[in-house]
Amino acid sequence: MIKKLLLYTILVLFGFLMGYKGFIHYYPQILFFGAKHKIGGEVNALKHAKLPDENSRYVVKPNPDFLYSSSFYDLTHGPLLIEADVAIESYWSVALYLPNTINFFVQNSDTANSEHFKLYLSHDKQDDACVPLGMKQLKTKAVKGLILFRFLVTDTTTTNYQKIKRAQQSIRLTSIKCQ
Amino acid sequence: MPFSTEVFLLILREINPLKTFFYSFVFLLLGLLLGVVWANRYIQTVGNNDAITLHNGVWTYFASMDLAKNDLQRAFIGRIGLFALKDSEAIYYIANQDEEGHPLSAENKYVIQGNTIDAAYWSITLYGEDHFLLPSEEKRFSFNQANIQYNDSLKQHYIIQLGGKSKDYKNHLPVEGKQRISLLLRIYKPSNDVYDNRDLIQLPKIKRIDL
Repeated sequence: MIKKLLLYTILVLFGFLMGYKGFIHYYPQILFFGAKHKIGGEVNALKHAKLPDENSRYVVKPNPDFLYSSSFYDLTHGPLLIEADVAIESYWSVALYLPNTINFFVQNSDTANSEHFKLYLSHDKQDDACVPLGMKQLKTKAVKGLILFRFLVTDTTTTNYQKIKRAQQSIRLTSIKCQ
Repeated sequence: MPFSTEVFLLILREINPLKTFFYSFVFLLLGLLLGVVWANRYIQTVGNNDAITLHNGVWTYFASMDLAKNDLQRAFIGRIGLFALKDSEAIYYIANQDEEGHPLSAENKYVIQGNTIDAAYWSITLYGEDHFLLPSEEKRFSFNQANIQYNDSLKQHYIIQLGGKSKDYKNHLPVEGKQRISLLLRIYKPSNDVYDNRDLIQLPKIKRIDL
């Protein structure tokens, strides 16, 4: 009887530890896939959002000053070329996230140094043979993740706002078939 | 036959293996569920955990947004600010209480008094209990350095009225209802001085004024 009690107590404690540590570790991934499900859309395809308001309930704490564009990417079938025409005066940034929500790459209007943003995104195990000469390349350990563009809009009444919207619409994702 | 194997076989004969296996599974599962429930509740307390969060007045922030190093912080940030940027890009300060230490509430009226911040962009945004934007007829959810109305010609000092039925100040964030509310101060591309002195820079004060 005592042996059984001891056994069950140890199992409860062991289960508790596993549950506690496991939940904290994997919870962000649950949130990641929850967001993916809410936002919807196909893999490697873009979703453009309008300026957030009280009806924007996909991801917590949206910034009402940002136009967001996102894509849940999957590099299983090859690398991805990310491009955007960003000849705008206001702040913009592109951030990449792993499925555990870690932000592993950011570039913004200051660090991009170009009016035409281009990034070749590939998996660690993919061949570099198809990378165009001189193109900025980023390798990632995870096959899946999120690309999130942010465009700052401080005034919707100016012509600058139309330029920002055009920049948002100019984002392109191209799947690369590397043979 | 080794001694340990003999002992193991003895225990196995004494206990009913199938029944023991079943109950072992049940107790393991019970422990697992308790662990998950406890973790879920504990994540919520990270905002008050002085070992992880730092304070500047009524504002709370993280010493580092390098989420790879801290599972607990990553879980908390995921819950209240999913897809936040790392601190090379932005600083985030959260306020859940006023200067008296009382939780911010949609029922009360406050003034937020602050000075502009040396950064490419900063904003103060109001959120509801569920971390989403609150309904606003005027579609006014935040103020930033470009659209806020300053009190002085040098555009340094501002006052924002938070809540309250009458609009007594030029900058007004309307809010209705009875829920707890919070403010998020975002600072993008801060100057080195701001970044290096996150604990010391002068941040907005939040004072309740309807008492």
